[in-house]
This record gives sequence, structure tokens and C-alpha cells, in this order.
Amino acid sequence: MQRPHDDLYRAPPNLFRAWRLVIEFLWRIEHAFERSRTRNRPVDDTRVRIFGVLVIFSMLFLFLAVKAGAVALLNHVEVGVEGPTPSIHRADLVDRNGEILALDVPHYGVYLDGREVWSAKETQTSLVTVLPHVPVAKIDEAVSGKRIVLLQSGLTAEERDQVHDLGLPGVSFQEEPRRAYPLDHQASHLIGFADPSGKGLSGAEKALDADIHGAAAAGGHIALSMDLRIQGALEAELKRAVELYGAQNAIGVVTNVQTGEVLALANLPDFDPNHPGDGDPLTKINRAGAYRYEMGSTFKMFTFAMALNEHVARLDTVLDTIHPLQLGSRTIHDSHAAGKNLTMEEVFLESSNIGTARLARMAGIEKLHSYLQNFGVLDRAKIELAESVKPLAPAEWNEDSGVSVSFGHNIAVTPLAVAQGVGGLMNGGHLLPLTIRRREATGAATGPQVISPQTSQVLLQLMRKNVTDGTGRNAEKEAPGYRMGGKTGTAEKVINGQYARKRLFTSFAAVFPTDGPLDAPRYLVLVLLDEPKATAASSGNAQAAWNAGPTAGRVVNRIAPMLNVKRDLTQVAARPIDKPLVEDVSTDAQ
Amino acid sequence: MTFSNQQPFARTDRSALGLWWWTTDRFLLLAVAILIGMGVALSFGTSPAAAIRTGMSQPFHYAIRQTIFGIGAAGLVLGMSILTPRGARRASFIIYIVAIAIMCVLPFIGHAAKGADRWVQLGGFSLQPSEFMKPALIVLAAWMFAEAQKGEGVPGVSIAFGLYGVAVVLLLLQPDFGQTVLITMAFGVTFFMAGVPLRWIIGLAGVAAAGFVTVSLTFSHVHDRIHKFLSPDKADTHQIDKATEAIASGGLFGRGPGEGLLKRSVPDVHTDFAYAGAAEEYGLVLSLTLIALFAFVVIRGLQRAMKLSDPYEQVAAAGLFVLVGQQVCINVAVNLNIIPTKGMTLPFISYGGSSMLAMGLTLGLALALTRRRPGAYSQTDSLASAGAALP
Repeated sequence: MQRPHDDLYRAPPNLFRAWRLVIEFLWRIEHAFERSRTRNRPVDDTRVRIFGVLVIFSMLFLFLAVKAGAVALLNHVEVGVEGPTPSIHRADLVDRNGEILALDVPHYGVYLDGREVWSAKETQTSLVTVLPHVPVAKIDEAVSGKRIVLLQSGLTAEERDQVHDLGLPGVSFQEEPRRAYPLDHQASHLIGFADPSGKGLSGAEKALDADIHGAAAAGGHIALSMDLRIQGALEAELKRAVELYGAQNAIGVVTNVQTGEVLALANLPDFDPNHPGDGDPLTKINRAGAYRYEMGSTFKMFTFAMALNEHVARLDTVLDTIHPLQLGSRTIHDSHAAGKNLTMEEVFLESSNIGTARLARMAGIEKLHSYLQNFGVLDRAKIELAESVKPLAPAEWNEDSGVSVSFGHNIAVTPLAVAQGVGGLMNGGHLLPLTIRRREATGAATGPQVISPQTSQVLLQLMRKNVTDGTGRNAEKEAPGYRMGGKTGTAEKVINGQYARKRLFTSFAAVFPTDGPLDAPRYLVLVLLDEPKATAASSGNAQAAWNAGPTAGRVVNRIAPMLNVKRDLTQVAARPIDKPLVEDVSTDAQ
Repeated sequence: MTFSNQQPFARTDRSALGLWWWTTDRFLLLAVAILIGMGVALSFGTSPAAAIRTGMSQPFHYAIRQTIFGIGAAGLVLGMSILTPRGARRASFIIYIVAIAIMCVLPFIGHAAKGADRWVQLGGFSLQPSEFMKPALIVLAAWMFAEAQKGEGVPGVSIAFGLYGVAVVLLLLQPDFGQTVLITMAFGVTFFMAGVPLRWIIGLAGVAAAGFVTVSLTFSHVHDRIHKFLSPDKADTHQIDKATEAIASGGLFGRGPGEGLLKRSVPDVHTDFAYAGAAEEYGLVLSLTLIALFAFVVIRGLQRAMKLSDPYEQVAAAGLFVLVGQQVCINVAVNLNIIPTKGMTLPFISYGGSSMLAMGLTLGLALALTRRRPGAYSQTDSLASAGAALP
């Protein structure tokens, strides 16, 4: 039988009963705890248990001691002392005499680590006063941040000290070496420049990047082959040439033909590597290596070298220079036809296109091609500089294209390639790669023999004769007594695939001294002028004999003493200038 | 019998101090004295950097205060170790009541710092009452466990857990999760040593774990810390990393006194990372010396406690040494980057008045309980014949 009151009776919570249950439960625990002692089991014994705790602590302390030893002795961490990072630091660049060209000047980036900041307010207010160019919001963000933030880079040592002296926790500095070029514009294309992260971008800075970093790590410096005095003379004379003849660009290269060392390399206009972002981007191009030009008659040296070495003719062999040369649909004229046949020597001295073309045909285009390959002018000039490009040469070597090449037409090469190739002709026939680094060992040139020493000797004499009797006479006037030899070249520039008759590119390759043994010290001066004008200074002429030639002569006159070449006035060309000083322009004569 | 000999500390000196000198474990006393001295000396090297950073006009601001605290701690060691075991529990009772009372009113009079009301201003010094409550609670709990086992009708376990519960609730209100964990660990070990049946331990461990999870989910800053603990790669372990680097750079003989760099980049070198700062400047030699001194204190203390014959004295003394030992182990482990947490001080070495004085109190009480008195130690030291095995 159901008792309805049972539910009602049990329903209200009986607090007293609950309390009694809790107390009963607690007492059960108390008694169980009490019994645990009286059971006398060793595992419940206080001594055993304290001993257990003791053992655990012993092990903990032993572990900590071992770990402390491991941390202190096995980790090799240098705190606060940043070792030199070879990837950023660059060694000094010096010229061959140790004059400084480029150096690292330490700048600093200031960083803030918000986690180490003690007083946000103090940090903010004091940083604002010494770093006025940093936005306040940026400082605020850095102060409350949880990571290291770059506040400003490019601080000088003085500015860094100002920040440092605030004594703020969380502020740190990172050295940012910035490259300084104390010469400013001077030798800017040869030296080049590096970006703020320490990566070389042009010139020697790019070409020798790995070695510069390596030398920085070793604490040394890198010596370039360049001689600052020669560089200065070259740049001054190029500048004068630009002023006198109104040339757009002037390019100059001075090399030691016995070693391949580049003693000077200049382009005008130039730039300031300290501020590589400023100015016309075109001024940063090293045209000596990165631009290709049709050289015109200067290139005839290679054809003559081939012809002499192959013995296709002797210097007194008479060549038909009266009749224009038929080349398919084209006819090769001489711009100043002598009206008579010329000897091979006269062809060189008067720079006859027809005569040179005949030499090429006599030897065969195949021969010319292989010789030009040997002379290195069908490839990029071998030099450390990245700014050295391949020439634009005919894709197909046939009678037509090859004959044009023989007088410096239909082939565009870099001035550096010309300097390399001509150098190989003037040192006994050894083709040497160019270098922008100082060579320690000097001695006889060693390199592939591209022509015989006899041919080299004859070429030297021919070059000398061209200066005393040929198109180089104006150059000799500027450098009397230095036994200079040289070859002029005047080409019409190719503009949009067409030869521009009034826009010339003139060059002069001078070598001095031409006397002495084949392995005697000998230097090459290559001057190239882009679009010189016919001015009063060039007696109303725009050809190489009147601008590039005299410029090269003036360079030789200035640098010869620096190179220990003695002036010998008995060697001055005494002969009066009786012939008109004209030369063939490399042109696509109709 | 008369004693004409008035030489102090002679064997025959029966004055309170003379008695104290001859009954106290002098090796323990010496180790504690060295530790207090080292704490004061080291603070002169590491704390000026902190004083300058915090804008104190006096570079030795913290060092001088640490010296005062050191003297205070030495006084507490002396004053407490003179007590009898009965006096020790009476003192503990008073300290516990005062500390709990202050903790109750702390939300109203407290001096908030770092997001928690833990400190009370006292004449230019701010003290943390919970630090003093810890040893008192351990002594009282040990006493209650002992009473419970006597079977004289004292509900010791309930009282001990009641005392513990009040303390934990007040700590969680502050909130101070670190102290809660410390107290729980020490209380648990004390309960264990008092002879709790092993199967209870499993149950209690489960309750503690459950409480840990509940609390960690309830308090956001605790939750953050747990989260960091569980995923150290994402955690902001900046200070700990720096500390480990500093220890490594110290090597065997250190960078040299005052040459440490850690104190310039890490704010807590004079407190939580005092060990790393010392290891950086004085090397492994000093850091091993520190570990050895603490190990000596804890192990010798436990050994002495083990040999006591009275259960209350045994458990109370052992519990106090556990309190010291766990704090040393946690702090050194943090400094060595073994566990990724912070906020624990190294006894006597870290700067801090509460920590220094409370450690003086703890070791003073522990020395009082381990003093040699007639009947305090059983006749034989062997484990087999110990305690309950006797008839």
C-alpha cells in the first residue's frame, strides 16, 4: 500500500542530516588515517617516507648540478658580443700603390625589444628626443611589442652614442657597414659600388665580391691593378677631350700589355658611387666593357697581324688600291683614294680600306675568322668585371661579311676586348686575359701564342711608323720622345640599323714604348670618343687623327713618367708633316 | 652543584642561548649563514643595474635593503630556532592567524603590483603575507596529522585540510597561482610523510589534478601561463633564453665579478634570475657551490627529521625542508631552462624581503624542530628499528 506522505516527508532537504553525513565521513577518514599508523606497515612509516623524499631530492639536486655543468661547459654562447658577420663586412679596396679606393664606414641600426622595456613612458619620451625622424607611433608600437623592432638604420657613431647614453633597457644596435668611396666620381666605373647589405653590385665591388668578403674576414684588403695617378691623368684628359671635341662619351683604358693589368679605366660621364641612386642611370654603365662599338680602322691591326703572320704579303708588297673592291652588290672605296697603288705598309699608314680588304681576301676569310677568334675579339674580354659582354659579330662568315670585318666594319666589340686583343699583339704575341687585380709576379708574358714574336716585332714597328709618318702624327706631337706607336679608327655609328654619316665613333690605340725587347715594359692606351664634333680644337675635323689620337698622346705624355718610361728626344719624329692627315672612315661605301 | 664557569657557550652553559648553541645542528646553521651571506654579497653585484633602471637615486638601493632583510632573516633563524617544538607550533599558529587575517583584508589595503594584490606596505617595505603563511601551515598541518594518529579524538586530517583550504581560497582570490601550487605540493608531501595510505594518494592526486585544470581554466592569466607551458615554442621565453645564454657564457669561472651582461638585458636578474646572474659572473664554480649548499641543507635537514622520534616533529621538520627544497629546485630548473615558467625566487639569493624573511622563518622553525633534546632522537638511527616498529 502506497504511503503518500513518504515523499512529502523526504522532500525537504535535511541540512542536519547532511551535516551529520559529512561529519561521519570525515571521522571515517580520521579513523582510517589513525589505523594506518597502528598497522605498522613499513611503507606507511614516516621514516621510510621521509627517506623516500630525501632520495628524490638527492636525485633532483644531482640532476640540477649535472645540468648546470652541461649548460655552463657544453654550450658556447657569446652573449652580447656579436662576432663579425662576414656576409656584411667588406674589405678595403686599394689601388696598386695602396691608396684607398673604397672602405667600410660603420653605421648603426637601432633596435628596440619591447619585452625588455622597463618604463614605457621613459623609453618613449627619451627616444623621441634623440631620434626625431622616427615616427612616434612606431616607437609606441615597438615599446608595447613582443619582438625586436628596427627603429632606424644608418645612424652614425655619434648618433648611436646619443641613443646608447640614454641607458634604456631593450635598446640594441646592429652594425651596418656602409661603403664609402672617398674618390667620389673618380674611377667610379672600375671600383663600382655595393648595396647597404654588403653585396657588390658593379665594377670591382661586384667582380671581386667573394674575395672582398673573404679578405674582410681575414682582416686584409684587396689591391686593384689600377694606379690612381694614371687613372687621374686618364680622366683629366678624357674630360678635356669631351670639352675640346664635344664628344658625348669618352672611354679610356690603360693596360700593361706584359701582365694584362688594367692600370686605368674611365668613362665619361661618370657617377658618384656614394650615391648610386642619383643621376642618369646611363652614366653608371661601364661602356668600356658593356657597350659594343664598330671600331673602324683600329680593327685593321688584327687583319694586318693575321696577314703578316700568315706571310700573305710583305710590308713592301704592292696592293691594288686604285680599283674599288667589288663585294657582291657593294663596292669598297677609299674615302681618300691615293690614286696609286700602295704598299702594305702604306695601306696601314694611310689606313686604306681597299688595301686591308685585299689582305683579308688574300689570306681567306676562314683564316681571318680563326685569327680573330685567337685574338679574343669574337668573345667577351676575359676580365673579372661582370661588365664585359660578347661582341656582335657576323652570324655567318662569308666573303661579304668577312671582308667588312677586316677593316673594323660589320663587327661591334667592346673597348676592353680591343685592349685585350691589341695587347696580345704588342707583347710578343701572347694573348693575356685582362685583370683588375694587381699582379705580384712580373716577368715574361705567358699566354697562348697568337702570332709569332717576329710578327709582333713588325707590328710594333708598323705602329711606330704610323705615328711618325701615318695617321697618328697628331698623337706623336703630344707625346714627343716616348716612342709611341698607334692606330686610329673612325667609324660611323649605327643608329637604328643605318650608318649615320655625321655621327662618328673615333678611337686610338697607342702603345709605348715601341722599342726595346718584346718582353720589355710596354703599355697600351686606348681612347675612344663617342660622337666627337668637328671643332676648332680639332682643326675642323672629326676623325680620330684629330681627337682620339691627340687625346691618347696627351695621356701617354702624362703617364709615361709614372710608368718609368724615359723621354728620349732623339727619337722624336723629325720629319715635317708633308702629307694630308686623313684616314679611311669605316663606312659602307656605295 | 654550582657553576662558577661563566664562559659563554661552554658545555656547562645552561642559559637559553648556550643550550641553543649546543643543541642546534651547527652544520645546518653554518650552511644557512653562508647562504644568507652570499645572498647579500651577490645582490651588491647584480642589483645596482636594476636600481639604476628603476630610477633609484642610490645604486645600492636594493643591495642595502637586501642586507637589512638578510640581517632580519638571520634574526628570525636565531629567534625561531631557540623555540621548543611546542613553541614552534604556537608561533606557527599565531603567524598563520595573522597572515590569514592580512590576506583577508588584502583586497582592501593591498598594494597591487603585476596584476595581483599580494603585498602589504609595512614601514617602507612591502611584504607578502602568503610567504610567511607557508611554513606556519606546514607546521600546523604536521601537528594535526600527528594528533589525528594518536587516536585521541582530534579530527586532525579535517583541521589540516581546513587550514589548507582557507589558505588556498585566499591565495586564489589574490590571485596567486604559483604560491597555490607550491603550498599544495608541500602540503601533499607533508600529508604523504605523515603516513597517509598509498591508495589515498592516488585519489588525492586526482583531486589535485582536477583542481589544477579547473583553476587554470577559471583564471585567464593562469590559463595563459599553462598554455605557454604546454607550447614552449610559442611562449615568450625571452628572459629564460637569455638566462641560459648567460649561464653558458659564464663557463667554469664566470665572466668575472660585475662583468655580467644579463643584468643589463633582463629585468628580473636580481630576483627570479639571480642564479643565472651569479653563474654568469662567477661561473660553474659558484653555481655548483650554491646547489651543493642547498642540497646539503635539504638533505641533512630531511635526514635529521627522519631520525626524530616524535611524529609531529618528524613531519613538521621534513615538511619545512621540503618547502625549501622544492623552491630551490623549481627556481634553478627555470634558470637552466628545464621548465618554462617563472615567478619563483631562489631562497636567500633572490632579492626580496618577503622571500628572505620567510625563508629565515622556515629554516628557523626547522632548526628548532631538529634540535637535539633528551628523547628527541631515537636511540638507534637504523630504519629497521625505527618508529612504529617499536612496541
